[in-house]
Amino acid sequence: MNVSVEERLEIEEFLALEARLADESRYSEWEALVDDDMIYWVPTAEGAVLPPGDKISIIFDNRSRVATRMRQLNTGKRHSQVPASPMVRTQTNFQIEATGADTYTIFCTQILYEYRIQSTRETVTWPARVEYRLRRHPDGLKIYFKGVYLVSASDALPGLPFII
Amino acid sequence: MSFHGKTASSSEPRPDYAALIQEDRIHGSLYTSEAIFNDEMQRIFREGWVYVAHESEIPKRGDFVRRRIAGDPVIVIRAEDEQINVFVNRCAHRGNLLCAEDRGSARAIVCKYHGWAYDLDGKLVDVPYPAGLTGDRKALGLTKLPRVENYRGFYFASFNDNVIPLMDHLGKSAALIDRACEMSPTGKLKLDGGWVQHRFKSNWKMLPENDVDGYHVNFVHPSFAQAIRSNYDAAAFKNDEEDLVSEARYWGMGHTEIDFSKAYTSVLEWFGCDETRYPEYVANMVKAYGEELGRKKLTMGPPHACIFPNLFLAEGNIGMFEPVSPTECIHWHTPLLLEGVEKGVNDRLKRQSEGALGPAAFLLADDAVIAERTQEALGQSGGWLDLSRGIDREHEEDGVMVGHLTDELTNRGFWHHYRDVMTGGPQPARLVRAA
Repeated sequence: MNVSVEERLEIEEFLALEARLADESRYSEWEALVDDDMIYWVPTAEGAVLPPGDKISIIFDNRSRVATRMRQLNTGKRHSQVPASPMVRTQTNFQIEATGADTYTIFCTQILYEYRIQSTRETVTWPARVEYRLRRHPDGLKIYFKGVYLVSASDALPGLPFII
Repeated sequence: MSFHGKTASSSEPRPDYAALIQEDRIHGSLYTSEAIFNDEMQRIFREGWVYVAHESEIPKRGDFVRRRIAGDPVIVIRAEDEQINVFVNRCAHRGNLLCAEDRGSARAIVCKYHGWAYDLDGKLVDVPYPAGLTGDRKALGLTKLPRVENYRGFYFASFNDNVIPLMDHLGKSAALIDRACEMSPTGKLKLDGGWVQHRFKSNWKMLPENDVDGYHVNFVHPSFAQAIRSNYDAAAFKNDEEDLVSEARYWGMGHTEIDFSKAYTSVLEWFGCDETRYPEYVANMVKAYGEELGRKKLTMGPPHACIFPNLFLAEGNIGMFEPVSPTECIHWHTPLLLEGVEKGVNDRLKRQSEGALGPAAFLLADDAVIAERTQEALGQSGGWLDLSRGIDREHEEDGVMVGHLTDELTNRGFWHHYRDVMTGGPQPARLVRAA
């Protein structure tokens, strides 16, 4: 189902906020954008073509584990993000579909540059296709699924302790 | 004594390992020298035993997985029901990579370059336009690793025809593999949960060192302890030294362990739950091993141990260490999925695997950064690293050296065996100060 121009603008603006909060490691503000049944999934290449959870993933968080992940980062003692990686990401090629009266699925492409300031001081590029599923609530949109399908998902990856 | 930097060439004299590895300290060049790395690849990874795959990864004839040993790509392939071969993944004709997929199944191994075909024993069986090939086909088979042996489905391989029998290499540590297998009521594992690979910009030896270092836990993982209630609260995070009852163990031949089991008092505590969660699993274990032993296995939980040089029995996971260069390596892991248990048990193992190990995990992401900082700090000149902790309180129990969880007994054992291997010593020296 197609969406209106207004809906498209609203969703793109929402995702730009999500991207910025992730880039700036504003963990609690980012977590406020996710719904109570959130699934956050970064599969391996092998696992990406199967139902989530069949194979082990790089990240496969339910809502409770998303909370744990943010809680750990918020301790300020997670060495792999002390200090937090400076990051910037761009998202483009949005394909937005209304999947119900109050739900949307979005596919987009994402290029993330991450500077590993805590250790090797290299800039790592994380190209990915991203799938969002959003649900409209009275107080705005919430993310109930985020899948990040890395281009390099079949390879050995450096640390990924930040929000991708 | 001379130390080798990254630019060391093969024409330089062999490093003096006896000087670089002392009883209670080691030299930093062991983590940075190109010459030492190349020497390790030859002496440890080509001339010794390395873990390559588990039988359950390639259950049917023709099933294969790709791995790397000492920088060489290899194919681990099941040729017959009870026959697994390990070939260098390189065509005998013009050296092309034969198999580009990470895993799969094949009836024959066919090169994409000129179409040469090999059977599952590596024999050259077909050559396109055969009239032109007048050479000896028998000499043009695949390079097969001369020694492949397994213990309970864990396959090891060596490029060295004269390597000691696998069971001599494993020695007493075979009991650790038993402990992992016997988390299943059938005694069998089913390692089909997929692999995740985590790239460390550090020397490979920091993996087997850190993975059995019980001292760092409170300092590298305080964010875990603060954010997550877990079985490690009792087993590894106690603040007072005397409250930590977990132990460090050295099993000989470079095999090391930290054992949390003394901290566990109830069935499935290691799994973060109790027996009411998986009654079928508990019942099947009791049926398989008897009431007392079945419950004991479920209380102790799976081992946390490194089998020299590259296998990690990582509680609910199986891990592998892959050296890439002096300053880079890969930590692989797959969940320890069990045969003969309800789906819920294996699902929980998968989720715990994701929580503990891998690039985004609550634990290993932090270990990786610490290793990378050590690598950075070593620079080119290295200096000395101290390994003396607990040297005065380690003791022997049934031929296994035992120390406090936080003692460097494990790392001393690793390094002293390493020194013996690198200097060509026939048998590992006994650990110092045995009781």
